[in-house]
Amino acid sequence: MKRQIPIIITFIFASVGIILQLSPMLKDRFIDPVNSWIASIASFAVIIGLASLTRHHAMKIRRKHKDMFYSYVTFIALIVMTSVSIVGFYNPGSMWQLLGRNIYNFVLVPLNATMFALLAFYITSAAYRAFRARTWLAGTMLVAGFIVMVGRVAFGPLMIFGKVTNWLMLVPNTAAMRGIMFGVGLGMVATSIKIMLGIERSYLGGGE
Amino acid sequence: MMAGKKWFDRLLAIPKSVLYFGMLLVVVLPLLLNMHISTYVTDEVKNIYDEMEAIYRHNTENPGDKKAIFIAFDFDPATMAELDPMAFAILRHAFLRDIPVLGWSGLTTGIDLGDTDMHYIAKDYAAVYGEDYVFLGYGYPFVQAVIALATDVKTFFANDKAGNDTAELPILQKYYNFNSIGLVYSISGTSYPESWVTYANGLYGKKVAVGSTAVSAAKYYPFLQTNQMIGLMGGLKGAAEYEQMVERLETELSGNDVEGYLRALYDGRDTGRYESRYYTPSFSNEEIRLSIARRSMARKGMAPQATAHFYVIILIIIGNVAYFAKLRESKKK
Repeated sequence: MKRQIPIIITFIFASVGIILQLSPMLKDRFIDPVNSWIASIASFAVIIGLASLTRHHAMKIRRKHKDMFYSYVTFIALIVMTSVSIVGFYNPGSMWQLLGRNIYNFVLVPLNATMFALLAFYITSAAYRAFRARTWLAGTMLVAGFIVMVGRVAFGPLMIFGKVTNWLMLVPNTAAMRGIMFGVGLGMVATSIKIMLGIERSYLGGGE
Repeated sequence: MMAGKKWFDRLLAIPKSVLYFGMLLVVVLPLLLNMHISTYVTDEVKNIYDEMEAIYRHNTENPGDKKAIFIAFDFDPATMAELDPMAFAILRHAFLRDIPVLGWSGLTTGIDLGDTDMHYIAKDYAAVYGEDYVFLGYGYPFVQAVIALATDVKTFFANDKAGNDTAELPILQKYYNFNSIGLVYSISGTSYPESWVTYANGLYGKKVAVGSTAVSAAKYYPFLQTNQMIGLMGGLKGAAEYEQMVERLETELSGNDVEGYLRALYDGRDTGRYESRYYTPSFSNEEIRLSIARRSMARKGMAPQATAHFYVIILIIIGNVAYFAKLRESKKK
């Protein structure tokens, strides 16, 4: 029963979702309440996520894991940002609101942007050491990459690369991407049907 | 040790730190030299611009049935260097043409970015919060928030990001669902644009345009061909294209003297309509400098991007030449 009840609930709600899409009349009537339901359920996902995060890091600290320092950092960041944001929201114009904004602008924004900016350096190193025309396929990719990189910043006499880049993106790239999307789409439909019918049960957790 | 090494061995052994330092130089120098690059305009970006102009014409001809645009700021600080200029350019176009703007963010870390971007650009055109534009906050859960736009977004967002009751905001009395929205524009480095296509376009037939990072842009081209997306701004280049077109429009409408325009913008206006929690209706010298800089952000970014691209290309060529020379040498032996 422990596994059957969630499977029955999944089947019922998946069927409701499909029926709502197939019947415009029912959809107009019920889409807003269904939406509110899903929004409420999704709020529980936040609570579960928070509980899971707290348990994971609390365990690390209790076991004196060698990286427990980062768990303390996580807790401090979590508590400070949450408290400051909530107090700031209910006290507009207060120092709390300003503090929350400053933490976002001067801590989160630079950290987040820096992490992504580091990619430029990794790509430089990877391109120099690993991007080799060892086979004709790798060679083709290298030539295409060369054209697109120049084409994206083309000006003056390099404009011919811009035109070839457009063709590469609109024709071969579109064809390849569409093929990949069809594959992914069919996979998603198959997996959804398996979940709905209770064949795929890994989302329930635990072993068989 | 190095004396006995062949030239290709030396090249293949260039330390990472040297490569990194080279990258640092090619990115920093164009910024220090304040270089700009103008770019050619592609159809996928021009289509977005044309759609905005079509909305403007519709609004002029049908003042009782105006259309707004909806901007989803589905990006975070990691990708803001590429995506912020897109947000600025489209917002500038909307406010120049007096098109109402609704916005939200689908990412927690993007809420403040979207909110701030809207106020920055609204200030340049004296747009009033709650009348000309609104930022709803965090669209979570994402799909349900999108679907809520089919009926009444106020049922999903009881308050906007600033804490206002959405039922009392004038803009949301007229523009609260897809019927009154002419274009959905999703700016994102994630796969959210695909959800906009699935729901906003697929279910409700709304026109969707996308601004994405250059690396993500490739996967959206199939949607362009099927008209599920009417346009696509890919990376800084896409932003630079749009920026150029909007600059031309702004020059046509307000002239070349941006500083003079900004200084005189709030003269004679009823400043009581502008609440200081959104922005103050006046410009300091620093704000004018930043506002002017924001107008060419993408084109400024294109210069280091171009030099970085050429640097990587040169490295790939050197790396391959050295590799094949070494291969040839080892085959001889």
